[in-house]
Amino acid sequence: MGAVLVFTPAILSGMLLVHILWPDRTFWSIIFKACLGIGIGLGLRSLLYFLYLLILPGHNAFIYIDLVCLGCLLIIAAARELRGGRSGWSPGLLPSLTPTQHALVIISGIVFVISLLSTANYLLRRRQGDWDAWMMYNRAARFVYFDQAHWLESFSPQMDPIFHADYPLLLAMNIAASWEMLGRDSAAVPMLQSALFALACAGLTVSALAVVKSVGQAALGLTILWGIPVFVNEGARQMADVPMAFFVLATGTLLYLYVLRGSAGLMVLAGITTGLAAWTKNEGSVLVVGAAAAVVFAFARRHFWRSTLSFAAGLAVPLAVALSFKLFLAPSGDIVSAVAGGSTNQLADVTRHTLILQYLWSEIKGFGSWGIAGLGIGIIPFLAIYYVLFRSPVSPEHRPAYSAGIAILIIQVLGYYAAYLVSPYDLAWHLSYSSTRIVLQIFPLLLFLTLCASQEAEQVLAPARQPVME
Amino acid sequence: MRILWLQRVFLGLIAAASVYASIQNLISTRELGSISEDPVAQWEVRFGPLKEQLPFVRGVVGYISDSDVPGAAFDPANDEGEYILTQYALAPIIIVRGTDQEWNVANLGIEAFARWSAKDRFEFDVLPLKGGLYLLHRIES
Repeated sequence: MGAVLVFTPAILSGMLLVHILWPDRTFWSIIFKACLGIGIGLGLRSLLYFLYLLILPGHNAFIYIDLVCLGCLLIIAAARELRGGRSGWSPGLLPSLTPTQHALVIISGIVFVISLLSTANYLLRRRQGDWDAWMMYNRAARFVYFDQAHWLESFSPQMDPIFHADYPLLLAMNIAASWEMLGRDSAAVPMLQSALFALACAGLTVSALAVVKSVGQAALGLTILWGIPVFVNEGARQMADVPMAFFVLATGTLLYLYVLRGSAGLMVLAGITTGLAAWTKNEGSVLVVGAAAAVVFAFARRHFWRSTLSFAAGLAVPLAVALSFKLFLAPSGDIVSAVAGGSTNQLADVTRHTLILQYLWSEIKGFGSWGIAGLGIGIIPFLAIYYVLFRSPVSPEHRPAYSAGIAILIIQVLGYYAAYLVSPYDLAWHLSYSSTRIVLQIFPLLLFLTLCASQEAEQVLAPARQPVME
Repeated sequence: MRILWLQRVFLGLIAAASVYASIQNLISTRELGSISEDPVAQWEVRFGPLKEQLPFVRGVVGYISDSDVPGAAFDPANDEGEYILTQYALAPIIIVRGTDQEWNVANLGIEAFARWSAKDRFEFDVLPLKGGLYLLHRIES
């Protein structure tokens, strides 16, 4: 219960910040903002704790800062609500559903509940998470929490590079902040953080699809995402891949919504989620490049300066903190050291290209397998067949949304490819250890874009009925 | 009309496969281990007495295991896992491979400790602890 309470101010702050920047009031956009607020709240709290430690290490006063932030956001949000009046609220919060939508929601609900039990099962049987959790994220949190006054020594170059003291600190700082507020190092904190990101990622997929497509399509998205064991289990392993997937998805969906709604606040939020990805994992720096390129590419002909400046405004603070950590505090990372040591020679090694492409192809075929005997393929070939069967024309005004999303996906994959090429590790080991998780990082956005570009499930199952939209 | 039915069958397949996979996954996650046991926490308990013996809260200690003793048998995967768990348990103390530090941790089986003792023990004050753990304090020359 204590672990739930220590996360509450950060989550509420995140939700309020999202609402202040995008004060849309329809039912599904409120759900979208709640899910987005979980990740943004946890991410910004982590940044804030890092800055707090730089100024006031060893004071155990972060709870007051966390509560003051929540109070300030609450006052701003309340003032805006009072100024705007309540006329914008929908008369009824819950949208009415057709029988087909009811059926789809029930199926997705069954998958969700069963997979939620699997998540709980996994978390309770692996309370301290899996290998990378003890090696990096939870270990880094312990280094900060157990001797907060000298926390800067946690990034000593004496530490074996295997422990990746250079890794971005979103998860570790949140855990350490929560332990400080709780007054003890409880395993429940990283367990809950892991579950929160998994739930937020699922919720973001569902609510974004409901906002831009239909309830049936949202239910189908949840059925697919939470019906693949690799995603459900990864969400309980206390590692950073699901949080990374959350920020990739959030950035892609926010850019999509920006094309639809045109609110500058959405672009600011996309900048924030992009910056927080760089604070989550090293792969997040590729998202910074990808999302910036996507903004420039997709909005070159429409509201270019407004889009770019709004995105940069959101990106500035999280990226500045992440870069400061990398430049002034963290020891040199494995890939950067390898490049400095001349591993760029490996770029011309044909056998490395071949091996990477083999693994990539194997992931395209097998990622997200349902584990059904005799069915040797994963979810991506199914999504490809789904798209062929269900694709619907994309209107010209929606094209920038797809251009942005596809640009993010392509640049992210190219970034992973380049990292493998210059990797200092045995390449076969590195690929086998991480290739599934890097596909997982981009899969929710791929799923979202595919379902957006397709006919709604309701149209197929009950063509005579029109889906009831909020 | 045919494409419509194909689409419906496809949606049905996805739904059925997702429900099946989620049930299978629920069953398989029950096999991950016991809810009441936490091997990582047990490892931390094992290292508790050693951590108390160290004269500092944050610093650097050396670490050796069976793989560092010539001739001793070891499992490479276990050896690396134990190294990582030791760093996790000893946080915020940094562990580095070898015994070059003033304070060192030896995580050795009986055979490996015997082999190590025969060759290197004279350099250290050795404090044996439970579970094959030894705290080695380098003797000033």
